Amino acid sequence: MSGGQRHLSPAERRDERLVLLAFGVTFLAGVALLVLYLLGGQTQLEGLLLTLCLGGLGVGIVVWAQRLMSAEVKVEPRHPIGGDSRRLAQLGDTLTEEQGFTRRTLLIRALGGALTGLGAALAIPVFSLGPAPGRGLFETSWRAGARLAEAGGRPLTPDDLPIGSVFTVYPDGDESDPNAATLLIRVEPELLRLEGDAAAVAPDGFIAYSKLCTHAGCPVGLYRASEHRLICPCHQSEFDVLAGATPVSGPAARPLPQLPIRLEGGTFVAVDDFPSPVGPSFWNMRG
Amino acid sequence: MTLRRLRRPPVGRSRPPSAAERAAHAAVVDDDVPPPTGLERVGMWFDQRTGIAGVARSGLRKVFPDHWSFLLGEIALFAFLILVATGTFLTFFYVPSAALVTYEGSYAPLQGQQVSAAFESVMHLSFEVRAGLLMRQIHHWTALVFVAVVVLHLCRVFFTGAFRRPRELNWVVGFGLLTLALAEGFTG
Repeated sequence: MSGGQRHLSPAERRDERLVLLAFGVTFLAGVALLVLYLLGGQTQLEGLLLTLCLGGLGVGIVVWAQRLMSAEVKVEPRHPIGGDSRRLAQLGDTLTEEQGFTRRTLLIRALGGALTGLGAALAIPVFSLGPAPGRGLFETSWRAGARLAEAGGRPLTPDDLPIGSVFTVYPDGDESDPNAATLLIRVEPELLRLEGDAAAVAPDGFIAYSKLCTHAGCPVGLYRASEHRLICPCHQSEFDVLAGATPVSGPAARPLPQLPIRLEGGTFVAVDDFPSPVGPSFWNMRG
Repeated sequence: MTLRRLRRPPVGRSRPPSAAERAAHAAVVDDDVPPPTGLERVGMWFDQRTGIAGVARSGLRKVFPDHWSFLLGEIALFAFLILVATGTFLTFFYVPSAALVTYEGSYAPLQGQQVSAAFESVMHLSFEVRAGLLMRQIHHWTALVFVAVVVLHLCRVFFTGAFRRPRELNWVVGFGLLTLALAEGFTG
């Protein structure tokens, strides 16, 4: 452990000074961090001092190892691992010499059966984790004939929605299924660019989309009426209302499902449940 | 049963060692070796109780590839240790409850609002606990670094063929760790 008094080259001296400087920075930053904490602390300064503290240690160690330590290349042959038939035979002998362990076939089979039973018993708590989702991912509480009503039960009429407005509606006002939240939007009918069946279930410029963003499920709560875009506040996905709520910006990759509706007796009524699952896409779902 | 009288060595005056005894003593004791330093005595204390000297020597002499990419796994390990340390600190303050409480902390824009107890505990940690926000931030960024480095490490292992026999199990374990890291990142 004695320190060498051998002659150091200028480069080595420089490197040694650098290591000393780095360790000095570590020490000072550590003390400064302690003092700062005792004085009340300030997060950004604490972070900076911690960076200096650990960084100094890192620089010192790296310079020491890379420049000051010997850099000879060593080659080491691989150590053989196992596969030694003699040792395997010895293991076999050890197993059999213990009161004929491997020859008691009946007992070994009984042990195997016992462990299987134990395994089955230990697996039981898995079933307590809850019911399988089943059809839950594909269905909401919307049914044919359910009225579009705001939370609390009042069914919406066309007069409630001037052009450019958005309302959040539930089946018959029932909020109990969070997947059933739906947006009812009114746009000028001639601006809608829907195809075929979708156009038929968006009467007179009234169109209903699921409120759950198809990216991560946040409620799409923002509507820019001038551009007819629904915007999700979580990750800024934007959906074009006129084109079937196709995502035009942001991370969502699937259009918001459209709830088919019709006007009946002055109120809006659902024709059926959503044609595609609401909320975040899963597996290989395509729009 | 009779007690056998213990044989004791004969008591006598100590006398100077004979020539034969001196020669026997010199054969096993080397007077040129200086007495052990404090650090060496600590090492001997540990080795007598754990037998660690042999393992430590082979560990320090281990031949290791001289390329930075072989240290990615170590970075992942240290990132994990940082996560455990900061995460333990965070568990002292985090309340995993969705119950609604009224926020009455020091963050003015949320005063009087109804927030979940979990949210309120995180706000308390960030604004009222000294160095709490620092711990939270370290934990956040180290978690991102951890997952990234594990992926990079798996890439290194793959592209250097280090998953071949006899290291297939190493690969499976490593991939399992990645899965656990992702699950941990999701659930916290």
